[in-house]
Amino acid sequence: MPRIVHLAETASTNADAMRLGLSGEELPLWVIADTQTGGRGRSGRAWVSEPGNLHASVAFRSDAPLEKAGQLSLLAGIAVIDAVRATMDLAPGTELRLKWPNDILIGSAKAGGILVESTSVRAGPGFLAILGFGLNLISAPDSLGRAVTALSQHGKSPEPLVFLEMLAEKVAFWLDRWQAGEGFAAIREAWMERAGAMGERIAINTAAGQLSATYQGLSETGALRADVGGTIKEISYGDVLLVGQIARDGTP
Amino acid sequence: MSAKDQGPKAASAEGQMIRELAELLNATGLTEIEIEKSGLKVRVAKTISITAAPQAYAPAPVAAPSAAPSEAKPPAAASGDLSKHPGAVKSPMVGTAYRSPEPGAPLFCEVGSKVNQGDTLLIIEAMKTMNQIPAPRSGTVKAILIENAQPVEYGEPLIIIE
Repeated sequence: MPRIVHLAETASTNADAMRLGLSGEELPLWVIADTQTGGRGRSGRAWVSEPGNLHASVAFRSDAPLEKAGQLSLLAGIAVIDAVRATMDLAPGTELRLKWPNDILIGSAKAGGILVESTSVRAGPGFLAILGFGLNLISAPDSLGRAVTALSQHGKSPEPLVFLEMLAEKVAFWLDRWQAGEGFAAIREAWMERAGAMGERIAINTAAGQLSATYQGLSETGALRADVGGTIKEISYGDVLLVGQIARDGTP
Repeated sequence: MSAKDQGPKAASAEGQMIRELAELLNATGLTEIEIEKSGLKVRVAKTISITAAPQAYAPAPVAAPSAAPSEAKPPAAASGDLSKHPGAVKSPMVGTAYRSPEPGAPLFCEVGSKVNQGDTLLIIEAMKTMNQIPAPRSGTVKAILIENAQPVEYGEPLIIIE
């Protein structure tokens, strides 16, 4: 059993895990909350946190070079997919998959997200990593302007604590395979097995505007390989949209 | 187009601009300013001198060269090559740099801020991973070389601390 701090309510499990991770607590340490009042996604976007869904974060130390920290986004997604498959029977035809780098989708509807943070603020080797998980187990927020779903719409979804225990096991398994970045080839392969089909049409939001592209797997370092007008580009930041998603609801 | 093509009036306007930029360099602690206006491009730069406060970033010369001391000589870094500046905090990864924890929040630091070793200077996002970049040493922020939400390359100088 992993060490777990279970809170009825908190602002953000990522913030709690970061604080506890920096305070000298024995790591790894999981924080789970029934609800979050200040759940957040990337760039401070709010994350709606309904009771019955998963809001959990794990803090651990890694000896990997900091430039490999981004690979943890991919690793976390693999662990979520595996934990879902291990804790529920999905209805036939349910297309549970990953979108680069860290979205959990069913079809093209978002079921969950991951927010990874790292800091090397305190002395010591490597860095402190926080993997934050938000997963719609029993309900999906509405009025987000994009397609969303909950696992309960695709089978009998697990209780948050039951899911957490399996998730902790899967995260530990894949961290072991990752070997502080040395074993990334295995992570890359596992991620691509759980992602969409090669050649899927995507759009990439960059500072220079939106690019139309097709998905071409991951690079050796975990960047997105995208075919943009016949040229393969490696994308390590920027928002990636599925063209099917844009067409369906009009917004990314 | 060079200054002499534009006559004495333009030339003096340029002289004024260069003087103002030079003052701005000193006032801000920057080492280089480039400005483009009405087709005219002016770059004002100064060589960084490590003699100003060598103790700030060379506290323990354990491997001091036995040869004649040459501290008075500026580092190999010419103006504009801030990656060789001894107080440069460089990007450990390719990503997007953010100067505050989230949009609208206060900045981690500004030019002139006093920072302690370990304080977060900025966040670099790569593959949706938000990486806090700490100050490698205590000191004063002399220059911030990136804009908020700017893409950065591996090894790119981000902030100068002296």
